[in-house]
Amino acid sequence: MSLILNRRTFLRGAGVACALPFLECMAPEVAAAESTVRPKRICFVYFPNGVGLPPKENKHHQDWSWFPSGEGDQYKLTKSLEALDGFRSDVSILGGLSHPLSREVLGHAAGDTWLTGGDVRGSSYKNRISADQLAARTLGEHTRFPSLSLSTDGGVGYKSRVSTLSFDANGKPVPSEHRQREIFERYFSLGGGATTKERRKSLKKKKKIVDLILDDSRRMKKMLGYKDNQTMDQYMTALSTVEGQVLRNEKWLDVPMEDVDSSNLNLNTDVTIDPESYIRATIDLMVLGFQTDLTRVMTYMIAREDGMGFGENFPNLALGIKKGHHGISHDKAEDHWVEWGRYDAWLTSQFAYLLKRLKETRDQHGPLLESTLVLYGSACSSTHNARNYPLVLAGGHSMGVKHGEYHVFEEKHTPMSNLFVSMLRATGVSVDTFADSTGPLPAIFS
Amino acid sequence: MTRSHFSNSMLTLLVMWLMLFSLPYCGLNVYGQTSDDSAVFSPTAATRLLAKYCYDCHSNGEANGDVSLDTFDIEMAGGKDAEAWKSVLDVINSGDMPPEDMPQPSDTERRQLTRWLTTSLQRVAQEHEAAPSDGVRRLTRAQYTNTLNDLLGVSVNFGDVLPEDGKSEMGFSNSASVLQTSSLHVDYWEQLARTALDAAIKTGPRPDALRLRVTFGENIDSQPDTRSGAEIRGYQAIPISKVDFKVDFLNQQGDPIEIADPNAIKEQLAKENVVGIGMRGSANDRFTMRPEGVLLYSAVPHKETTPKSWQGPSPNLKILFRDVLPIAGDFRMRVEAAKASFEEKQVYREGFISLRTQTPAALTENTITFLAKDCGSTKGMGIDDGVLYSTDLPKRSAAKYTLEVSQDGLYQIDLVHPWAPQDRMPSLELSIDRFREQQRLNFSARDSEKSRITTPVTLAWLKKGKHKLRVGGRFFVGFEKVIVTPLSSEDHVTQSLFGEAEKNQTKFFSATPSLRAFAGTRTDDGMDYRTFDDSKTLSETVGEFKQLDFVGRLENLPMPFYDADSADPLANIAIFGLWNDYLVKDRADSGPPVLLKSVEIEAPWFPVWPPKSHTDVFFPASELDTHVTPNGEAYTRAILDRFVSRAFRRPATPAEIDRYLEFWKATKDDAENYHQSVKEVLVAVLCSPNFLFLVDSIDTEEASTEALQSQLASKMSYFLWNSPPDETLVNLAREGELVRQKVEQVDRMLDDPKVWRMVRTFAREWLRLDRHENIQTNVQLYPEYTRFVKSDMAEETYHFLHHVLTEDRPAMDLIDSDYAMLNQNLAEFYGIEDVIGSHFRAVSLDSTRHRGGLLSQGAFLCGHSDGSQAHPIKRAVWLKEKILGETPPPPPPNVPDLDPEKPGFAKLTLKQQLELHRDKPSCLNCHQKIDPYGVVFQNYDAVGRYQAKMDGKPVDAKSVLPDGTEVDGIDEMKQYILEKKQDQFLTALVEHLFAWAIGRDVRFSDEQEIAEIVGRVKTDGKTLRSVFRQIVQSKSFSRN
Repeated sequence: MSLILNRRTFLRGAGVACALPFLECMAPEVAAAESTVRPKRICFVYFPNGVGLPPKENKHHQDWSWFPSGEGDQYKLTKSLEALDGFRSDVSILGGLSHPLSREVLGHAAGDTWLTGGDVRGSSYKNRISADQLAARTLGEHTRFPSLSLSTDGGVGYKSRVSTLSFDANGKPVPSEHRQREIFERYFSLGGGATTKERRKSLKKKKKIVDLILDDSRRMKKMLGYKDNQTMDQYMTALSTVEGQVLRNEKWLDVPMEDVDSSNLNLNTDVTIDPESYIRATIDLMVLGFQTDLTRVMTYMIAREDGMGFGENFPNLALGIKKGHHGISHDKAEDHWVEWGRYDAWLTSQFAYLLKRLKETRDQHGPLLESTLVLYGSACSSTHNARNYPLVLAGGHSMGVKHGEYHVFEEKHTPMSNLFVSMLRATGVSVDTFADSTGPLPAIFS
Repeated sequence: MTRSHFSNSMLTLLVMWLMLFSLPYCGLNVYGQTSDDSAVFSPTAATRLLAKYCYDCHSNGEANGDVSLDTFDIEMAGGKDAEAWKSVLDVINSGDMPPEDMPQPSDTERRQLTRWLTTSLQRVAQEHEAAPSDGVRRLTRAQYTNTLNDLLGVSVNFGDVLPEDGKSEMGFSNSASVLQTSSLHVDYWEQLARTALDAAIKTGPRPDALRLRVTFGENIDSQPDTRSGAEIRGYQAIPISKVDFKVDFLNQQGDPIEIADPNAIKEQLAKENVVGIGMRGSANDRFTMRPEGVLLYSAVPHKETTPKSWQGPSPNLKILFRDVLPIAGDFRMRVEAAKASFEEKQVYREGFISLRTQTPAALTENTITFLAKDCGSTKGMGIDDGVLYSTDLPKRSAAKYTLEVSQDGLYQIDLVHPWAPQDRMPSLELSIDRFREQQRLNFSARDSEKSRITTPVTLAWLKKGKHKLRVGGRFFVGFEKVIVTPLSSEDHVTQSLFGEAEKNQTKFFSATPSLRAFAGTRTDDGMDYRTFDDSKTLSETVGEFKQLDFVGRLENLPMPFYDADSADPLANIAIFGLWNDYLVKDRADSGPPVLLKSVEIEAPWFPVWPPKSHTDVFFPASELDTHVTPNGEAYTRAILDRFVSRAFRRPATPAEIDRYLEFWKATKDDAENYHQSVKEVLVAVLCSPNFLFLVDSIDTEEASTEALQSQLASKMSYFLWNSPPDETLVNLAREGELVRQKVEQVDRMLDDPKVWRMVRTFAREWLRLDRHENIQTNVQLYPEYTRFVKSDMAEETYHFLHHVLTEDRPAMDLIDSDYAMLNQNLAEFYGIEDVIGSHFRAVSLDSTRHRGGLLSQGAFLCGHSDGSQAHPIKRAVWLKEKILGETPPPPPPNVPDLDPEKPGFAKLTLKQQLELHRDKPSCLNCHQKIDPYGVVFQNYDAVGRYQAKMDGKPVDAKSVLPDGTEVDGIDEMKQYILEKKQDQFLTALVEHLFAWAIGRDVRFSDEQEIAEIVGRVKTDGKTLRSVFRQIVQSKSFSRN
């Protein structure tokens, strides 16, 4: 505490008129005060290869076309989304959205850009920061970990076939985690271990350097000899912001982990035998993470595009369907619509499990779902057609989100990035634009 | 009435201003005012005049052209709205306002108003002058990279990860007003400082490099027990057979590693089996294996459609590595190759030959037709309505036939098949024996109506006898028939193919091929790649092998995301590749072929150890005058002194060094070793504002000569090189000699290769080459506009500016020149013959070519089109803004669209369509001053080619400019500028270079100085070089 005051006096006394916004957060008294503010969370869940969309004339259209029939609040769910029936007031179904730059990338590569809106066409892969990582920059200031990126397959995959949803500010993929026991041990267990020592050391280094630079800046300003120097002031404000971050990170190293009840977690599932148990165990970990405020930003890639990874086999393991997921999506046989639809419905039921758990789990303000904005969907409507992504938005009632309708947007006017602009703003991240957005989404968000 | 508003002091002031009127340095002559109008004027009177003639359109919510005069501060208190009033003054002076058809002020009224505005502006200018600017601006991304690279001796694009810099109104990123600093920058600078110092400082022994050599030759690796190499597959892969190349891992001396133990050999091979050779994107008949190597014809760029255009030109050779490459450091690719002979006539060797035309063969009595329904052997297929289709699209399917050929000869193979939508990825794969052709089919809108489509697949030279024919593949489109048509020796296709070999031999007999290297990552449909180093020429003697070294930096190339856990067979695959850079455009042309014998890769590559970057920081203690203990305090002090002075671009003060030394002492015990402890201090140095910011004007009273001249050295080097000063400049500054030798230094610096850094950045920002980079050109309309043409056009402009600068050419060359900077590829695109080789050089052209000067260059013309046709308005605005220095006002919001439904609209020429556009009175006012400047470019289509006729009609490029001059086409426009607008162009040129040099946009208060510079340029030879010289000597730049 005294350290903080010293720093503040030091800077003020040097005649620097700059804001020191976050240092207050470090004081324990104020941390308690912070908990009266309801947190805002954001979460993304992805499945590959699009969804079954039998044409209108086809006899299976009524049962197994993923998008509902009707519009607005009068929409009627088909069997594919049946599992959402009990959640009508918690979800909005979105049609017509896609990323303009990915519409021509031959399908599967669009998965690289679902959360980024980047440009991966042709022979020059230019990806961008993903919406979750952008959110993490702001939301990460309140939690021990800025974000959590999960997947069934782990790692990053490779360009045009990634196995993670998250990309950093340089457009490089953030590795996703998939080993449940390791995830639990790393994030939820007490102690922290060797990494804490490393972190402490590197934070100390950074602090010393920032001190030295601040000193340099004061002298430079004096040497420049003018009363008001906007450039230098801006620079020194930036420095103090960085310093605040360093101090905050350091403080977290001292805050003890909350003791969590992990007795109902099953960390012994085998994804190659029982995918449903595996996926639900991951979902349980996510809910636990939100409940303990470990982080407020999460992504989960249930399966990879193009028949890669464990997910390809899920239809067989879970429903006894002969073909793999990618195979079904390319099938032309008549009943493949039924198979595809059944698998879509199975995926929906996993998503419904997430919604159920978020609804029944509470923090001190109420059900988690009310303060968590969730997006579920894919980057192709049906395989290789990177338009009209199947998307369901859920939760976030306390963040100004109004559910209960099926919205269809016009591709020409509304790029998918507009959805991210609205989601980020609802989460408290002030953005003017995201990737190629043209404004906020014209619905759902207040 | 007006007098009563004045107090005595105001009156005194006014008299003083009137006196100042007559002082010459006020430069009033610019406005043509006479001094005998002594009417006293006031803000109220000015407002009254404005209300009378201007407020109708420009007040009370009416804001035509975005101008609301009633919201501007008429008193210009503290300089407020001064820029806006300047614009008002300009349009009144030029007679543009009020518009012709509106009531005009009397001569007296006009004079009163303009004089009043002029004097007010003069006052503001003087006030402004007394208050200096901030005096400091941060390095731009490019400057940051150049500065680190020069300081540390490491060539990595460090600044690429920094957030993009904004652009000022004049378009420059080095402008103080747009160079913001955020906490993100601070975080990045710290990380980058560490990364850069880690790359420069290398302690310990020289690390083991990956060294391997691939040697090519038909059947060179025939022994199965010891065979190395892999065949990496995937979509449309064309791997070279394992028997045709050999992989050797080399020891540090460059010799193949000898392993005696047979088990160890197996282990070694497993390591070597991560290397494969791929030819994806290459036509079958443009490469072949020979005993001494692989033969590569000249590369033909693909039309820009997916996925072929993503796979490199045809042919290109790729070395594919899985997992083995390091991720950072310099690397060397050593290639052994020669110009190959033409002896063997391709056409007599068995194999596939790419089609020369896209026409199905005419059926003859000898045509062999294979029907789907008669196929006896299929895999993964089902039959429906006579069509065999794939039952599991993503999997490979096959229909097999036996083809019996009665004589050696040329055949064409066509496929008859149904239509399929694009999201089914309709593809086909045809193989005959070991020859294979793979295609992705692109259908036109009309094709969807047809029940059957005939697609020509390939030509083939086949020997007499039985052959295995297979058709199918992944995402197979299905088929009804395979048609094999023999082409007789009289057939025109046969004739031309036979003739080709002869023609190629004659055409390319004396041509010398060159090689281009590239590197990147394999992606599913193609590759993410970039070329590196230069194109290098081989020996002109056939069969004379030459060793070529291509050097690059791994961090600067699109290497894979390495995922150690990944089990994907296609993950982590890095590519190093080559193509024959004597580019040709016609698939019938072989170009001079290259015989490639071997490729050797060494990564990381260190020419010396420890690297120079390390010893530049940690120089030997023996270099110092006094004896010091290595790694002790005195040694550290010396290191810091040298480094800090270089980093801060001025001599370090003893107090500064003391502080850094204290920092070192306080932190050194946490470090692993001595070098790491010093590195920590250097990180702090590279995060200091003294490094990150350019100081424009330190307090001159207190500063030493050395400090002042160091500041000048910095200003000069960032102006002319976009980089920090070099040793010569630093030494001159230290000796106090720089001011005296300013002009000589400018000349030296302009001749230094580092001037390219400035040319590329300045030209890109001034001439808006970013628009060229981002334009999406319609490749269906312009199939010859490949990515090679696109990048060569940008190079044309950069080389042109560089040439005018370094050859001391007249500045007016920028408007019209009797030469253009071209290479072979671009010259051929423009229709200019006899330019050989991929390097750029000045080619003399007469005016019939319409290629001289900036106004006729592809990068400008393409970037200012709409991708399908010329865009005269974009071109007009560019011409006015960038060349003539008159920025037109922006369009109002909600400009209504032209009505294309109007009958006969489509039949009008673009000029007539524009005239319709302008016909609306609200548009006419601005557009009659804009459009005429764009119509003159109408002969240049959307890809910058000059056409006398378009759509069968002669092009109408006649224009009437606002001053009444008639110009017909680009040549007369250039003449007009040369004759009537030279001063205006020179002023615009000086303004842009001035803004770049000073680091802020030009303000109206600079007008006088700019005019003076233009005047001196005219007496200094009026060359582009003289502009640089005069700007460096100008008051605003030098200040001393």
